[in-house]
Amino acid sequence: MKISCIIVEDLQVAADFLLKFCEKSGLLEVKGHFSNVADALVFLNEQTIDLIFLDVEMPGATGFDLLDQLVYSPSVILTTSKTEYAYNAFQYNVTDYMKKPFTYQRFQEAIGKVKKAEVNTATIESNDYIFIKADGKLIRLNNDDVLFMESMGDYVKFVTPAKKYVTLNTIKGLEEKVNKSAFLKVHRSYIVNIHKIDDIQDNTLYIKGNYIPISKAHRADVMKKLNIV
Amino acid sequence: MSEPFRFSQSLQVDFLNDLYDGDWEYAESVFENVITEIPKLMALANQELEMQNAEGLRQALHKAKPLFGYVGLPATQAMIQHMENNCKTGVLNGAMKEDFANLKNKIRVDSDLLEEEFRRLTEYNKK
Repeated sequence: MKISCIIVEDLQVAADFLLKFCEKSGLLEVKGHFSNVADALVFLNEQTIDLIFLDVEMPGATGFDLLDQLVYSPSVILTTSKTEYAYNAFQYNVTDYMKKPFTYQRFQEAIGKVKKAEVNTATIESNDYIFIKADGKLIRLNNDDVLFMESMGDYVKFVTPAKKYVTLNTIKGLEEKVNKSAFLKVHRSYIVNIHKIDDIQDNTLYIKGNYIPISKAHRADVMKKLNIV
Repeated sequence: MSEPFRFSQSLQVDFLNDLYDGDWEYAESVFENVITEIPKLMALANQELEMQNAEGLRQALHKAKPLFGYVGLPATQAMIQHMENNCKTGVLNGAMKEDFANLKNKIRVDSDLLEEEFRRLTEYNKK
């Protein structure tokens, strides 16, 4: 099945190159090209796609403004002519970051990362437990037992109702490994069990007596995952 | 098989060969597009400079910058990047105006080169 995508890019030459590369790959179906964030958001609020090729600086609003307003999380490949957005790209957890102009070979590398992320996600979705290395042994934790995970530098604290475990790990590393139907990164320092959230107020969520911040970059993901009626 | 098109040595030849990967008709259309777009964006940049609008100037330059990459002129891209960075100070002083004048001179030379390259591409593609 082809990866559905849109191109959000105000420079026509750059958009044309992307269209050409998408067609050449045979792996992508381009659902639309938008030269500004507002038009892209109208489309994205009506249709779900797998991938966005996203320019950063556009008239009216930036690519990061678009990501802040998205209510779901497709893969994102940033396309920009500046390297200074790399830090933001990391914060927004984008799949890749391509500096314009880029060759077809570089484009293929980026698509490879999107496909790899999809495969990893599909594998992880089926797991209802994880093994962690703590207290000198491998300990099985059912997803349902974990309330949240908190970054402690090079370590991560797993919080369960009964006990806290500290493992040599990072939130970024764990984000790739945990079951995404149960866990959600809400801040660069926190992954929470979606099913354990008691309530949310503004940019803070509450799980069994613990207050956990929701970052601006992750707020849209959180709201999307909640069963709001 | 016909001889591949050879870009001018004044351009970033290896990158252009990778970018167009033998699709010389596409290269022709991109060169044509860039030749058309650059004067428009530089006119806009000039207008913003005259209005002392540093952010407007930065945005116009930012949009023009990658165009030079698609036609193998990284030195011009670097000049624009330098100006973009200086625009962030919000002050359009004498040095900035001098930089802009130098950029315009560079682009004048570039444009002649691009026109010639476009002519050669068109000729090559007709064969």
